[in-house]
Amino acid sequence: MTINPGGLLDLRGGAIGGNLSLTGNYINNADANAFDHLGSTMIFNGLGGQSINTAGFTEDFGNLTLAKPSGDLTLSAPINVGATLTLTSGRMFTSNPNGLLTLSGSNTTAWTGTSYGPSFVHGPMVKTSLTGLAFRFPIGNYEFDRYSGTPSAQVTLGWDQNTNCGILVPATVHMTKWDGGMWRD
Amino acid sequence: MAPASASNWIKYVPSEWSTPPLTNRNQRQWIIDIDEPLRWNSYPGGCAVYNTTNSTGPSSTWSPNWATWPTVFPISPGTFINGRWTGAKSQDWFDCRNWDDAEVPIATSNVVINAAYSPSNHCVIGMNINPPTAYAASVLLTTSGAAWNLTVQNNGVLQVGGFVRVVNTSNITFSGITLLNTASITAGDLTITGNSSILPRAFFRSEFATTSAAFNGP
Repeated sequence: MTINPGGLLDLRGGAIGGNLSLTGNYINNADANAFDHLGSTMIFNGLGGQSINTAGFTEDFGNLTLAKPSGDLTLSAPINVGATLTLTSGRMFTSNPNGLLTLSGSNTTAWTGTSYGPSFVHGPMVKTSLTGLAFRFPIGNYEFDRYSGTPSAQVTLGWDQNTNCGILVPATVHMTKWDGGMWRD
Repeated sequence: MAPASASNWIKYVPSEWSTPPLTNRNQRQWIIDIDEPLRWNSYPGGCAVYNTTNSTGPSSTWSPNWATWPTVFPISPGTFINGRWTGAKSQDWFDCRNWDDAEVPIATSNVVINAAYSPSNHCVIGMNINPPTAYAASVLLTTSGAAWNLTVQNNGVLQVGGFVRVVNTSNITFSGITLLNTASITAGDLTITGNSSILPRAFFRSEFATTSAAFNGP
């Protein structure tokens, strides 16, 4: 679907807005205000590759659901998901800065999924969070940085029992960190 | 065919009958006019009243003598475009009289709601609760002036095999497609294009948890 200059996609409904599913690409050639998203749900469910494109700005979504039977969703523009990102099936390819995913939802359900593994974000993303607010997210083998702010983050490592990549004895698992010169246990 | 309740003493009376000649109409316009109950007068006074010519008083009392004048109903030639919205009678998508060729669109119809064709009404799918499914091959809602809107509501469903496009190049009006209360639309693709120089003028609106839109094209 395409929003051209002077067009308006209005799915805004307050707490719960309208939902729109797409099997093709999302293209916004206008500006961020051309999609009124509050409370809405955008579902990407195409069989083939899909992409999100803008005229260079960050697109805001309310809820975004990835439910692709096959193929990937590629961000060709930065996006912000203000409510819940639901990863049901399929991969979301991101890149920094022109395809960066930001989750700005303040609730603990900023991400939901059926399990770790079948659907995930492949690439960099940013999660904004308030101090003391816990959330979980499948980060795979990615670097984990504090992007901004000053409080120290508390990180809990976890894995899904059904897709544990061979982790059978938790006591044998080691966490390491890179201190700038070497990996330390 | 009007009238809904028949009498032995009724006549079809065009609105301009008392000031001849009759206005040229195309085939569709004649059909729609003859189908209008208000164009039929009854004459309960019997045969004598029925045969009396009267062109005075309110039009509901007029009594033409079709045996003597006029003997010609002027029909202007023209082609009829399937899928072209006229809104000649109402806002109802499912009233065939609102379409240029007097046929409600089907899955092969390319629906066009275009201000250039001077429609008389906006278009609504779901004037009443639980309407049948509306079909089209494509939907183009376009204007460069007055606003024209398509609304789907009351459990209305619009199934479009191809594209849905909303185009408004006006710099004044606000025109588009709205899904209200419980309604849905499925189509291949959606494009919304307004006037690039000012605020949005073309819209697609689906604001409720009970409204849904699916665009299933590539």
